[in-house]
Amino acid sequence: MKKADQWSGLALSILSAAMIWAALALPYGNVHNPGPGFFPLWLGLILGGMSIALFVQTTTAKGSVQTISSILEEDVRWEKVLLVLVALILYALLMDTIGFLGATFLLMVVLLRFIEPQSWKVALAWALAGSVGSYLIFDVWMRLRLPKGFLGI
Amino acid sequence: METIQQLIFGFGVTLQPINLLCAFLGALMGTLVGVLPGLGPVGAMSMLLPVTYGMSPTGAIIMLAGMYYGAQYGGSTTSILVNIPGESASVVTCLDGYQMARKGRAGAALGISAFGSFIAGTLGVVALSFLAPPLVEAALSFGPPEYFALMCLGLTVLTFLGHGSMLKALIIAILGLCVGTVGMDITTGMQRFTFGLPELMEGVGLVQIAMGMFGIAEILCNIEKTMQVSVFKTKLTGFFPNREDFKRSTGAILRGTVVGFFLGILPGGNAIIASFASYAIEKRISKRPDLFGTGVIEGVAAPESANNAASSGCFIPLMTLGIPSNVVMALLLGALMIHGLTPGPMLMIKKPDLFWGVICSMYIGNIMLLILNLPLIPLWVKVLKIPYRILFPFILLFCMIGVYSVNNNVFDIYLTIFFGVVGYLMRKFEFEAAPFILAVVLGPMMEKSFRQSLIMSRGDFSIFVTRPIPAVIFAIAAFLLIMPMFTKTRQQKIAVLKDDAV
Repeated sequence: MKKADQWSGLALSILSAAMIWAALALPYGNVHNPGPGFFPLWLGLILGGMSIALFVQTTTAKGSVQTISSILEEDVRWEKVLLVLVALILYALLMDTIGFLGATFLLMVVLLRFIEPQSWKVALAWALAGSVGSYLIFDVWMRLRLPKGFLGI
Repeated sequence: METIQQLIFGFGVTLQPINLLCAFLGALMGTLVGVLPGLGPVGAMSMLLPVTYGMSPTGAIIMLAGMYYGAQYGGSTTSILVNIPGESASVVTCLDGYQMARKGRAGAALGISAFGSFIAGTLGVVALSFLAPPLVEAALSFGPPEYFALMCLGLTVLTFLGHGSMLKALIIAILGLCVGTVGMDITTGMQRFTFGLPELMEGVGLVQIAMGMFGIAEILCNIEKTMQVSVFKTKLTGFFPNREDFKRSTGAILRGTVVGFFLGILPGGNAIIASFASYAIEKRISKRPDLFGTGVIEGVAAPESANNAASSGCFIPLMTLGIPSNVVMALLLGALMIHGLTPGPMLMIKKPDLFWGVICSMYIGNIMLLILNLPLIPLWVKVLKIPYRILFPFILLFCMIGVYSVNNNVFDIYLTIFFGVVGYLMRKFEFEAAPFILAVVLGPMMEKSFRQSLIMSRGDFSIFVTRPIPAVIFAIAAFLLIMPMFTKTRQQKIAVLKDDAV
């Protein structure tokens, strides 16, 4: 299991099994009048077949293929990727409670200050401009009805 | 002649001030997202989709269409000056465009790509105006089996033309079809795979997926490495290519237009493949192929013309059949449906003002872009100088606002983050996002036409091969599917394209 596509083939096979299992719970109907489960079941079966084919093809493939270690050991900044994701999830969590303006300001500060380090002054200035500016454009001007939060702004 | 009358009627719609403004805004924003690396037309159009809710359907489609072909213009600027494609259909332009810039000929390269884009874009729209009505006529006789066959062909072509393993592209397309089944069943109203979440009742939203896979995933890939964008420092004077340049480019522009337009009409075809193909053809027939890649003007003119012609061509399947052939067209389909319109052959008959208004706006939009592009290049250069560390938080923020505004619901943000992670992993494991997204959109339409076909034939599958049109289409699709298994043609074709390009 050194090759990347052995893992993707395996993961997709499991996914297709789940799809088939869920589709079996739906009425299949018959060929004269296919029910809600008809299409999903066949999709699940095709997906399963092709995922297994991918697994087998990769396992027997000769020559250079992408390996799992090449993905894992690539010189990338995982922590930055993770930080962005966490920041976005927190943004969604906070948006309804503290409102668009506040949540956006916090998100922008985090993204500007901690991904590519730059001075607090620059980060805060851009965050303020970004949150107030987008509030004015999208909420006030385009009336997109962004969440207000407890402060009512 | 009828078409001429319709065009005059269409110009009447387009020339209304509000629609002109929409075309202008679309073209301007399109150029901007084309120029900005890391934000393409897909991400930008999904961001703006919610903003168009309050607009008239005609204005909304005019603006969104303008963003698409505007991005084709803008993308070349970044390719030429920074050697990074501003959007994916301008990848090949980097090869000769950047070399021209290094030789001090950035002005001529930018000029010829604007002129080439304009000529190809305009010729493409002319062809679109005259081909669409007869195709609508033909499409009116299409039944569910024909539609099912066409959509199968579209997905097959998209996976066939993609880069990398065709098996993986097919797998990801099937996975997209699976995701497309989420939501309420069309005939029985039964809930499928919604996990009891009311937000998923109407299916997984296209905007959320597109924004996740093209917006968030792209940013995650960019920030994992320290990205350096350095604008080539050169004096930008003389945007008018000289007579020699024009002489060399005329053939390239015309050939690029034809190649691009036909690859655009093809279900599953798109501007990216059109630009690669036209570059390869130009190099093949050139008298000086060895100079390609060192800064020849045909190498800029051909792909830039092809991607614009393709972006006109791919409106044909959407406007006449209601079948999107690529992700951008899928977004336009979504926009039409949001405004309560059913895309398909009846669109031209029932909503001629929208149909012809949009087509005519593309004539005017192309003129606007030609006028906008050249004088504004110094401004785009300034935009390019905004460092990515400032830019990416704003792109993320606009993604979030766009997604939230689809339903005014935080759930959609979580969904987008989820698809962002999926898209990021897909890039790591070398799966393409485009077949997935197109399949999600086509999925429900395919299921509907499939079930209707079987009801029509009382359960007889031969309906897909006894009717002439589906039979031919399925034969082509089967050929494309089976061919790579027995020959190395596809690998060779891809290798040739890549070798020719790189």
